[in-house]
Amino acid sequence: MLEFPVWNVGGVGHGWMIGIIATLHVYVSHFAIGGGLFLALTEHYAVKRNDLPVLEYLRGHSNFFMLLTTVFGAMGGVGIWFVVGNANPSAISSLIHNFMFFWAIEWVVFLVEIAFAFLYYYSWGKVSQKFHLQLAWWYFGISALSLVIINGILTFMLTPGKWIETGNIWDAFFNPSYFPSLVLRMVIMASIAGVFAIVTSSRIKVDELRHRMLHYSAKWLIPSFFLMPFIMYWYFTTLPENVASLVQSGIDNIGAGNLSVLTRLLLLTMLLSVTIYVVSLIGPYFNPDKFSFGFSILILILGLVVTGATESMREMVRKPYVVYDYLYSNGVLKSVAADSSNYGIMKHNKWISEKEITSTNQKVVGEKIFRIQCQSCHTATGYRSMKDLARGWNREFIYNRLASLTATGLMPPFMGNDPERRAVAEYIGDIVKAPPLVAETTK
Amino acid sequence: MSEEIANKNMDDPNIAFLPKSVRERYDLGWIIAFFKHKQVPVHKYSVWYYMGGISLFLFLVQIATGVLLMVHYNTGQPHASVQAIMSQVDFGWLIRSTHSWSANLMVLAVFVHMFSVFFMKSYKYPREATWLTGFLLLCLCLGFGFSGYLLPWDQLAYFATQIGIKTNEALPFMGGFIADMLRGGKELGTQTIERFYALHVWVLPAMFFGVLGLHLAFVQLQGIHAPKFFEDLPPEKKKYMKFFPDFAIKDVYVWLLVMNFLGLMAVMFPWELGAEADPLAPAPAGIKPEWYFLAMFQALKLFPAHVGPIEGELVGILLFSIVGGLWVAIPFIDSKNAPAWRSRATFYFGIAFLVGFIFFTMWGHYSE
Amino acid sequence: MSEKGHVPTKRDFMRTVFTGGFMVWIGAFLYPVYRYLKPRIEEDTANAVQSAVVGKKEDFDKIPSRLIKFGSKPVLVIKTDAGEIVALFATCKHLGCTVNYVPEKKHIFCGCHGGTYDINGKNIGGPPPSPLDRLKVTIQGDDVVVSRA
Repeated sequence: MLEFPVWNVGGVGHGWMIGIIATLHVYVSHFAIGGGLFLALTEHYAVKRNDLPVLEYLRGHSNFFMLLTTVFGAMGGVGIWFVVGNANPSAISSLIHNFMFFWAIEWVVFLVEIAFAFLYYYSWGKVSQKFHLQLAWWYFGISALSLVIINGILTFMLTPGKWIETGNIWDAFFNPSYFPSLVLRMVIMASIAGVFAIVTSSRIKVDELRHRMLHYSAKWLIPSFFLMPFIMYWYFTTLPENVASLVQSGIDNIGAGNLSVLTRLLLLTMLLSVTIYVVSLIGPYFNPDKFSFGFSILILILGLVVTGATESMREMVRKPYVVYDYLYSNGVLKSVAADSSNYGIMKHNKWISEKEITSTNQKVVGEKIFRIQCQSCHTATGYRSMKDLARGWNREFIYNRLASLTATGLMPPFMGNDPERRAVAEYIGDIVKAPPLVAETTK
Repeated sequence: MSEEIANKNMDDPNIAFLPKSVRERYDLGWIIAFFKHKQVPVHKYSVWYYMGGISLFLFLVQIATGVLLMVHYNTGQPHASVQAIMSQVDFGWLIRSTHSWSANLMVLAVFVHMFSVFFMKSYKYPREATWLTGFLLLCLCLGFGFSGYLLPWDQLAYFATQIGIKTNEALPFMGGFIADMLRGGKELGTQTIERFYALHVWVLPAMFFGVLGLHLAFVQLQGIHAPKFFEDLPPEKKKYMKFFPDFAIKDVYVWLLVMNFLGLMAVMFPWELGAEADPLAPAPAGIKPEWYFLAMFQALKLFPAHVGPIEGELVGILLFSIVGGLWVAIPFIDSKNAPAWRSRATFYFGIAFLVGFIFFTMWGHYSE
Repeated sequence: MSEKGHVPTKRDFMRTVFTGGFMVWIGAFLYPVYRYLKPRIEEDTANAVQSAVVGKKEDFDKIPSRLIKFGSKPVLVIKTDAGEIVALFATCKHLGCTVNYVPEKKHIFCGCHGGTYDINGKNIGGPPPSPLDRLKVTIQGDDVVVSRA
């Protein structure tokens, strides 16, 4: 699987590998922050009213919270590093070089956050109520700080803004979409905290307390439903492309190909959000006595799908770049890519053992170049596969098509020189079972 | 009298949510009281009670999206108008994809509903008529599928319909007549679209509404059936939930989830439209009907060209008719006073039917 | 908090807020349907016919008036006794019927409710509230060209 420096995951492709792990991680890590606020605020009210049953519930909820966020959330983070580092080393290298000290601070903050999570849970009943509540607020403050930092790096990838010209790190960090994205994530976090609290509340045995907690947890979804449209609008105005026209192109025409995916994801996000809202309105909020654990799990899954849809929207808008207007998805800088036909993939990737393309090793080299150039988005026969995308093309057409990939508006230029392009065309031609080229055209 | 109604209704807590002006004019309290009185048995198979509601929900989606599609569909230019819906009309692709996905999910939901009803033995006395109307609804569903599939007039639609009608033509006596009536001639052509359209948007829906009304009325009048093991429980162990509001709220959740699944499918996997039908072009390889006809299609392939003096296809169709006939007659075979062996035989027949259906569908799907 | 419903409770308020939000979202659902059904009017005006040749000059010597199609609208072209050529949108200002020229009476008549206009389109009798809309007529060589004013 791991053929350094090229990673080959087969059918699902790199995109889905990152997509699945990142979506799970984003969902849980947003819960880690929103849930911190939930614990702190709920404990605050419970202490003020000396509401012992609620405190007892919080203790159980925080057990679940601590296990999920420190184990699953942290593992997911490591998973992302592993997948991203292997799938697109140049992209992650570029981010690390740029944000060296921010990453360092992020990791320190994260360690402290985990320490506070443990402190908070294991000190239930062992320290004074007042001190325990202070721990909750400390946990929330520090976890929020981790978002404040990572948000700068995430938004930078889509809107590097003035940094492209100035090279100033603060321009990169406080980039155009930094603040809308931060507010958006803060609001969503509260909803995710509400969703998880609905799940744990629905397990409470005592009817009266269960109804009360379900009703209370559902309230955490309210802010996002009223603020989301406005914040989303604010966020969209800071995006590079004219997103509105992209969305419009998907409204009337499904044939617009990948561009229409953005519209479709947006529709899906709205549909799922409405459902979460309506179900938690009819269920936990107004009829907590008729709400069961099974339906709360379904809300949880819907929330996960929305998270996936919104994260992939972000990826969609960014195409064909990893860092917008700077670094292409095939790991090549925009400035370098200007002269793509003289770049030479074999020259820049020393680990390709073949030093020259001959008629015997042509297809082997073709596959190696395919892995380097294409595999961060495509696969041979799996997801976004050559088998489907190049179906029915002949070898000459594939060869020509490789020279005009940027015309799609979604793909970076192919960086190979003429023999390298021919080699990849031969490799893809074999995948789609195209008839062999006649001798004259190969020579 | 009206005074009486007004006084009674004013104090009825069931309809307190209605405005005074309505309450003093119409006697509506009994409707809510009826639904509140109705109970749904709670047991380990309760989850199957949602299937009928899901089918109904998908049918409503079909009506809404179908009416919308009629606005832009043109029987005179079937392929071009569907293409316009897919590539020019705002959200046209969404409406059409939802209609197609919902159609397929509805057939699936109806099948699941039918088999769950079968295995809970809900068809037994006194619910025979519910089973019969249910079977009619399934046939109408398949009719919707068959007639709707042709309307976009692309290559797949053309050849799948051609095969479907030709299979019918093999029937003795009536076969040729039915085929001609469906096609509106000796050949499948644009005149067929007009007929299928009339069937799809008017004849079938009208019939469906009537039969569905009966089906639902029977369910309401006789209450929800509980399986035998539940009936045998001592009264204090029988758990029920109120149909309204308890079950109704859960129904709403389930409908919302189905709607989301439908939206997910329609948005992520929009329905495709092939090249315009051309009777002169050779049929593309591996042409297959929609999945719900696939089992029959695959089973028919097994018959040799001739069985003795009779055509193989005909034998196949006769065999299907016998199985279908038995399926309809199940409430009468496994009747009120039927001996135990007949009840058991019915059960095994159902298992065989289900396994056969799944097996042939899979086989059809994976065969070249 | 208070006796039946005189002072709204917090719960009543939440109920209103929720219902309001719910209605907004229902609207969001109906929006695609609205877009699907909305006619494409913008295209209509953008692609609308700006000018058209309605015939040769001498054609009007034999038959003094003719009704022609201008884009999707009917236009009445009349040659007056003075020799001038007049073009008018033939849609009656009363309820939108198509009007016709009556050569014997030298006026324009609407068959639906008997509205009359003079040869220049001015409303002179019956229910029409305003004159017919005029078009510009130019002679290019032998051709009579009608265009939007």
